[in-house]
Amino acid sequence: MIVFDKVSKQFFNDTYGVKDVSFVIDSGELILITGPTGSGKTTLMRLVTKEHTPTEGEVIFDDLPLSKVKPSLLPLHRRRIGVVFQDYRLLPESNVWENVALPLLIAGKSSDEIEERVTDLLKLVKLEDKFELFPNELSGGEAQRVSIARALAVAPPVLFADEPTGNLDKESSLAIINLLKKINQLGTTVLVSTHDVVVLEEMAAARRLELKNGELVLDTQPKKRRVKKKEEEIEKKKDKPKQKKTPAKKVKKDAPKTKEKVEDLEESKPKKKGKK
Amino acid sequence: MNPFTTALTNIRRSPFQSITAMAITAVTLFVAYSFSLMILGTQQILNYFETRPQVIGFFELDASVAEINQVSEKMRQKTYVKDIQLITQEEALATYRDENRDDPLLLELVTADILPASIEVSADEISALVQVKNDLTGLDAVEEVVFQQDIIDSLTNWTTSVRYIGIATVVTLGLTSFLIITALISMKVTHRKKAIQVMSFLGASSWFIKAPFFFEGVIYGLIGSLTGWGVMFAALLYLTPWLKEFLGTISILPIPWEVFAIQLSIGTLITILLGGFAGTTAVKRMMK
Repeated sequence: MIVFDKVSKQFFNDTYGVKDVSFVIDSGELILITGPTGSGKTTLMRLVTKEHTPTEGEVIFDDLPLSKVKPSLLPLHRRRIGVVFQDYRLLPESNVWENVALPLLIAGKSSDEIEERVTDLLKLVKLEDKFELFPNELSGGEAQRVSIARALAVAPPVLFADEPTGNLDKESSLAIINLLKKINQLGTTVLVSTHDVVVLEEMAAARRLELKNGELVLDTQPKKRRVKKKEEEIEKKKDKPKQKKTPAKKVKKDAPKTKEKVEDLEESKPKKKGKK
Repeated sequence: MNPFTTALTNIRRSPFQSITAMAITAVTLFVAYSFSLMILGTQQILNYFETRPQVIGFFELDASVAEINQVSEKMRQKTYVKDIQLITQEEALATYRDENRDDPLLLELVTADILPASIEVSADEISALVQVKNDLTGLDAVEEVVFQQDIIDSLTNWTTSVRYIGIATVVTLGLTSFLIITALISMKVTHRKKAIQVMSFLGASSWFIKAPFFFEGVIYGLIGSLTGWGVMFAALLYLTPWLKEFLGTISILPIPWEVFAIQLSIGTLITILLGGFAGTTAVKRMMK
């Protein structure tokens, strides 16, 4: 699902956001990304959303190297990742309903679909009776639940929560943690970046990636890249004299896969509506 | 919420900024529309003078009919002469009477023998008028020659000046409007910077983010253009009686509605594009 292959992001001469980070996240996993402030958690998220591009290495999302995602396709890539921020980032001039509906409007969904989806999401986050309130009328926990509902609006396969409980009390934090767990159980890959002890205790069973000064110092359940296995098979075949292939052919064989993925992304572009 | 509704909401939420943008656009368009009518008007006046008899020769009072016909015949033979019209003393008196029919005293005092006959000569080209003038001056029967070239030259200079001043003024004001709309929308974009970042994170396309600001600029352009035209039209209606009196026999009023339609369409289209471009320029700078 998400692969970091020796990824580094250098900001200045000796300042790294992340440094030589490699890991594999499978679909449906619940991941905790931990580490102190400035350890690179947010940079990691920005690399996945392609707000940052790696200085070295490659980030692969759903078998598609992000370096192959053209700027014109970036919005489509971002619609596949729900992002929850520590400071919620709700639009202050829009009410709860409008905030949750925003990604659906962006994705060009019909009003019936928006109505149905927003209703379901507000039920999920238990805010169906507060749909008319504006962000400044909500508590921190409620605002964060709206933010989660908004992140889930277009049913992204991945949800990235960046310090989701950073501004919340323990009770609200627990509610958010339970909500994230529930979302994960429904099949969404959930990545939670945090250094909140409450979260760490409540999600102790989850796989944990720990960052320190931009380097990955701990992966509690390291996974191998599935693509790697395929590559190994190819390597094995290469060893057999009859099936030996030239590197050029190998590149050619791999190339269509990336091309197909880019085409998939292009196909997922909303089609222009015909005249009614 | 569609982008047009969002644009209207943005305008409603900052009324003074929006009124400033619309006012400067309206002033620009008022000046542009006024100058375009002035240019059209001066061009019409120029055409009027160019189509009139361009050289008039007045005969001696004692010139005989034979002498007058001889002059007419001589002039008619010139290749550069387009048309000739002879006005006899009786015809001159008839014209005089017609023009002064409300003043019996003047009519009583004047008789045909004190009015000179005249010859009105038009040339194919304005450049031939000097030659026509010289020809008429050289003839014994002709006492005086009135030549309108100097009037036409003066009018041509005037029209050119009006055109250049108009273009310079409209370009300057247009640029000012563009910069003011860009600055005002930039302020709004800055105010919505976080919202734009959030939308970008949520996968909003570039157009989704730009559209409300584009439409905001378009609305400023549209309202500015219609207001500017409305004020210009009202001013024209107010000045029409004075202009008619000033222009006398030069008939350019009332201006045909087709002229107004073309003027308003072109002006509105240009300002809509100008406003839209200003709006997208403002947001583009922020998105970089």
